[in-house]
Amino acid sequence: MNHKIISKFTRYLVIIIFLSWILIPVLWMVTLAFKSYPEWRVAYFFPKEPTFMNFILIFEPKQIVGMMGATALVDPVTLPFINSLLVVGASTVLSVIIGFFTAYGASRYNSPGPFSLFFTLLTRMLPPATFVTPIMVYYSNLKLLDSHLGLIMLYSAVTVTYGIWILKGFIDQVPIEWEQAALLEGASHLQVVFRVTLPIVKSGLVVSGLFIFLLNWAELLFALVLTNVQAVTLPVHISKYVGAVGQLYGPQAALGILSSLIPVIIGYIIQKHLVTAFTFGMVR
Amino acid sequence: MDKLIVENLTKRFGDLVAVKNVSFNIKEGEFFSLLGPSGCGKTTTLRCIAGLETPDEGRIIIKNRDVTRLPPQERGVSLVFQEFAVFPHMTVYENLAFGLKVRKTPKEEIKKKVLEIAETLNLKESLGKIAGRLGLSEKQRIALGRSIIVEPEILLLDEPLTLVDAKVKEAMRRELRRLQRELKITILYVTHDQLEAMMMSDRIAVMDAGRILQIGTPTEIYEDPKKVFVARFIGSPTINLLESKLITEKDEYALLIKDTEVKIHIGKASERNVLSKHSGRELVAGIRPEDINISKELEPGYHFSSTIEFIEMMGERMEVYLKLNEEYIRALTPLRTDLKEGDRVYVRIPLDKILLFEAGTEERIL
Repeated sequence: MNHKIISKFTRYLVIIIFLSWILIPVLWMVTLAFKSYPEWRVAYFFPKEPTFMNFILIFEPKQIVGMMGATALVDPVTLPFINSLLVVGASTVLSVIIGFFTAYGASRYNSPGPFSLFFTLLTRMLPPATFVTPIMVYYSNLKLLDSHLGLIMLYSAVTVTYGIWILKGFIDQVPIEWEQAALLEGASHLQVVFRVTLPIVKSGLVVSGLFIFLLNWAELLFALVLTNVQAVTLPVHISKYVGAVGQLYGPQAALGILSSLIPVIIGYIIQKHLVTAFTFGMVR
Repeated sequence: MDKLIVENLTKRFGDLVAVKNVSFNIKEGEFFSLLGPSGCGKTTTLRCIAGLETPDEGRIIIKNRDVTRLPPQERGVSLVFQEFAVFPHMTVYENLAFGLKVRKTPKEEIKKKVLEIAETLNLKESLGKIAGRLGLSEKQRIALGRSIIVEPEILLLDEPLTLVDAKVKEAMRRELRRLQRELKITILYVTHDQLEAMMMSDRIAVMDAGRILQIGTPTEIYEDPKKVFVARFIGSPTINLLESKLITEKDEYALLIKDTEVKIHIGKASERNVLSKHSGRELVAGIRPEDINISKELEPGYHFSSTIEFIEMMGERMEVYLKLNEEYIRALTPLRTDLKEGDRVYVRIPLDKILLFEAGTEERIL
């Protein structure tokens, strides 16, 4: 009996520690976002005078000048937010689509062979900093600097690897007999892919999409180097909230909430698929 | 008319020759089985016919059309796999309609045919259910229905009953036979279960190590096996195969069973010319368990005496293991209460039931 209580207690303790580890920074961000300017750098958790000022500041940043010695005028968050949605959304969709067909080919035809497929991972083994400069030179010649298209191409090229590898795992689990039966019943290869395989690995598409979206959503280095005004993304935008004597914590926290919002919404919408994806392979 | 002709089919996987020079043909409306142990090449043969494997040599002709190089979709065959390939994300209705839908059949017609087939296969209640969540026997009927609905020239079945349990299997066997007759489908059935093949087929091809050893009706294959392998593979309990030597004694042939004194006289030499060239040779004598007579009383004409080592009850019948030297001889008799383990019995073998094979080539000689 005693033993049971202890084990139960330990279990809850572990859960609480784990949750705190994940959630306290989030809570910190939220409370910080509601603190007024004088409270930003004070070391207590909850704001004494909760305010929406920080949220107003990120849309009307004129008033920031002067705070923490900030001199430069920051743009409103609207454009970077739309840029991020556009660039990340498009590159995610591209990565998943290209990833699916590559993975399908690799899974079903063993071509270009498992080893060659491994090469797609190599691009992820170099630190991005090694190739960001050459890409900047290329892009400058191609007039792709500070453009949505440039970022979309780079993001999808970098993350398509994850799409391929995640989706290959899913496609490998679909018995080839299902496809062969469909072929024999008169379906063309494309019909087999679109009517049989694709719907079955739907949850895999969604999960790899979420993963790729999160990676791209948080990407800073490429966007920082390759954009300037037109195509600035959210992470780059956040980095601009800095004054002469330090970070502008309040607006940064408000931006943090804003940029967490989209992944949270997406996660909520697709949670059904997440469960299916984790139990995939047991559907048979 | 021949619906399917397979000519000299050969398929290699690297160094392994999976199918060697296989030829057979299937008539319109026939239920034809490829029977053999696992790895004998029967499934490979089937997959070549379906177009899922490309044969290295030989031709496949379906309804007077050479389909050897055609893709699976254009061959007019359907295949039911061992693990029923139902599409788990679709409803039963969508599953059944799949083949027609991809052929762009009008909606009304699809509906009519799906309802028809659902009626025949007893799937009407499940039409709206998601196929992935149904039980094995239902999945099996769905797979079958999906294959039949597209009206294939030939329906290929790859061990479709292996995974279902015994009771369902029995019902499905009958069901399949009924469907085949009712809808006049030509079926090529692949199985390792000799009983299944015997019960359902019009004709059977027995395969081993990539070759067809014999093709015939179930009765022919059972009563007139051309090879030791066929004799051993067909029939349950397994046939008794006795190594023996053909000897001549005063113008009479007799089989001297190896390592024993037992002699079975099998007739006058003058009447059995076939045997003349085998005199003195090693032979294998095949005797079906059900052909062996056991008696507790000493009767004239018995061949040897033996003791009952043990008895296996099979309900209305029993299998009796008779000790002969170091080996057992299996005998199958109707239920008899007078026989007990350890009893001394007299064994008689009807001479016309003995199958004689050459020991080396394993070919049947008589």
